[in-house]
Amino acid sequence: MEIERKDEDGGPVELAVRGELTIYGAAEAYGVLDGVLAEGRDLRVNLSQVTELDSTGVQLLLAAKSAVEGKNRRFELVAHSPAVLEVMDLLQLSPVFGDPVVVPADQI
Amino acid sequence: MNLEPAQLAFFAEADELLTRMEESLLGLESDPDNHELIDEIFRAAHTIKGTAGVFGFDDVVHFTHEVESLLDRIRDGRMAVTAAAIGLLLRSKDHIGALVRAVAEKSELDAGDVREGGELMAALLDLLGRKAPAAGDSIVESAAPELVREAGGDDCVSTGNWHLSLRFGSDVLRSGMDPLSFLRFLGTLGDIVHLHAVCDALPAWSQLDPESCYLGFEIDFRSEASKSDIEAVFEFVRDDCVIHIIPPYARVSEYLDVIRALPEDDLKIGEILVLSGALTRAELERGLVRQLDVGQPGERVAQTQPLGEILVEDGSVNAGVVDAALVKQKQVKDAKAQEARSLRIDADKLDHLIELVGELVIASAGVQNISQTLANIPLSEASEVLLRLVNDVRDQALSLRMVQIGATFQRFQRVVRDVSRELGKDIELVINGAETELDKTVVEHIGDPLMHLVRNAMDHGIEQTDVRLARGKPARARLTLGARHEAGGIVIVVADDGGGLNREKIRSKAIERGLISADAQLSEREIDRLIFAPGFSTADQVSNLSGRGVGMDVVRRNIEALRGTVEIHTVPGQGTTLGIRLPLTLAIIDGFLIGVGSTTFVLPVGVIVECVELAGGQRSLARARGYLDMRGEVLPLLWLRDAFDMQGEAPTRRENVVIVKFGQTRMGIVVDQLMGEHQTVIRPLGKLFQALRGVSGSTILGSGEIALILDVAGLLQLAGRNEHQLQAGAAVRALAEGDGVPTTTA
Repeated sequence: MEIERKDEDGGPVELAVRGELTIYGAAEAYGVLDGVLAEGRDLRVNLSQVTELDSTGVQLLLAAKSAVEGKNRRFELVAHSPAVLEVMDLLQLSPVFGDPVVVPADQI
Repeated sequence: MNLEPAQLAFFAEADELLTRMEESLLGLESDPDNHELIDEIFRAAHTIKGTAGVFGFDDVVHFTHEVESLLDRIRDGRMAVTAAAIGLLLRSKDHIGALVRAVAEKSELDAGDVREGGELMAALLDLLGRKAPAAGDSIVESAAPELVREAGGDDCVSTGNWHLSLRFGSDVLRSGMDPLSFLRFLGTLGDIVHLHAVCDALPAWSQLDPESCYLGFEIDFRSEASKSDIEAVFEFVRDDCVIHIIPPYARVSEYLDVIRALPEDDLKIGEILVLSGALTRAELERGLVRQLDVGQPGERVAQTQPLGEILVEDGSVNAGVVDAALVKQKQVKDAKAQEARSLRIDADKLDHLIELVGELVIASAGVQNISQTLANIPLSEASEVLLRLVNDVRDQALSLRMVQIGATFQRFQRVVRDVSRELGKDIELVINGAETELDKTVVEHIGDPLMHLVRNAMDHGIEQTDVRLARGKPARARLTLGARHEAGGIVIVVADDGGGLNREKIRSKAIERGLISADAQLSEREIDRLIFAPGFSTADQVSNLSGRGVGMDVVRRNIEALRGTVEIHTVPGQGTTLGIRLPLTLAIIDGFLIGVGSTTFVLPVGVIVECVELAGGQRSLARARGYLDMRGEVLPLLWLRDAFDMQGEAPTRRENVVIVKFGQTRMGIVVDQLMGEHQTVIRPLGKLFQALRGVSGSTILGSGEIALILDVAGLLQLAGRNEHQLQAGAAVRALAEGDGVPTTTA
């Protein structure tokens, strides 16, 4: 798993997660997120390159969301990959995260 | 983080389940109407399928599913229990084993197994009245039961759907299991109509442990599957998780009967109440929610107000009903605890413990020695207490390794069944003394020799049915496997009621093979023992099973490697009995110290009958005759000093005779001194001394000196063979008196 950070001037911090967001990388992902959260800025997580998501990953995203929103900052998930969509669908989490989800036409 | 343990547990469990499945299948063959057996087989297949599904072992799930479908039909009485069906199921069971092994070893199935799998699959589908699925069909499709969809079923949550309330334990993820896999697998049993992820337990960011699980789910689930089917999905996390499975309303009355019929089912109090009709599902959910609110997040599972109390406070049910339900629940729990009070332990850890106990025994013998020398009364008392405790610890530690031999015997049910069909003989296996316990190491090593003996008995011992009938014997032959304790050891018996050994044939074969000379005069016993000679086989035809000329001598060697002996007793026309005599354990024995000159030896206490003094006129008479008149019986004597060709003179005043018994033979061993009992930790002899007769190992005494452990069976043979005296004597001298022998713990 790799997490790439992009800073937009005045905009949110964007973290692009690449690879498996699973228990194998959970501690590492927690560390990266922890650093970013400490800055107290808006956070956007780009999920387009996530190949696998497990419960650990879901928990991390949920906890990060409430941590960011607890500071009155925005938290959003964008560009859900098919692996992410499958899990969101299984757990019926889209309403919980509340982010617009783009479902590719061939999967409807 | 290690994901292996849960999988390893699955492999071990699958192994046990398959063994149980086989036993039940064989039982079913003779008792086709036994529903308990059918249920047992079904449960085994079902659990394997469910757990394999959780781990994503698709091949196992795919195949086992069809087996389960067949079992389901048998269970429902839609299909008869025929010999063909049992044969197919037995083969299928073997194939499941092969599939699980392949996953465990991360290897591919070999070509034979793949072919077998294809044939079995075709046969199973044929019996189920379905055609083989086209390549590419997914498991999800094959595992999904046919759902009867009701019109407008989506909104009838309270009537048509199951409700599952899941709270996963915090260590679930760390044990390598992902709640998502369970949900996905659940999806193969039916439709997840609605799922609500419960994230309340998720702590604040700073307290979050990314590898702990905080998730819970409330699921409305539509399925035709039974409650136990749904529960089995969560089999592997049931212990760590809070799982409530609430049946659809329509099923409650059905379950009222079921709950009485299935008292072993592990039910939550709420479920018992719901099932008994005293509580509605809505009331239960309210109670559960309140229970969750009261408890602190995170320690919710550990500390909550009992649900029963909450429900009574709510006025949902009256206290008497809750009490009744609690009594029922307690009965169930007690029964469960009785069943499942066992613990899986790594064999290496156990071996290490036994090793340490061995050291402890030696050390405590040292303390005992010192306290005797010092003659300090408080110290002696304390060391006596210590010694007694060490004795108990030793017995307990050794008993941990003791297993019943029954499981080993049971495996032969299948062998006897298969081989008797192959040979066209009707053979019944009778098992005696299955509860006899012996050391696990011994049990592990006795399987192969037993297999040879059982196959040999079926192949050579038992006659063809027509021959049996002509001899006036029952058509159905009887093969007996038995075990019993005897004189500090265990005796395992393999007996058949076949034709017995053909001594003429053995004799001529032995002459032909050059094992004996043509004019040798042999007793019946000696002739019988020839079958244990290397390269000996009497089968006229080399069959599939035995008769290749390897076997009996290998059996004998294997048994001797376990410090055991094998005896044969045969009555022509009536059968053959083979007795294998083995020590109970390979690690520690109660020993009896005897001394010759300055050298100490150990005899296992179990073989000693009594000790007598040899002095005065009796001594010289015994010396001259070589035997002792023991209360009118002749007791042959062995002078240990002579047997091992040891130097030094016997004490002038008297010697002592230790009378030992081995099997049916008694013998007196003449020694200088008797030194009392001693706990003896057996240490194997080095390779150099392995061929040594009469000595089975060595041990270290409390003083740090080495003592040799005498092997009575070997001594008996030694007494008859003079040529060994020189060899053994030289070796003993080298070991016991040589300068280079270390005298402290090796």
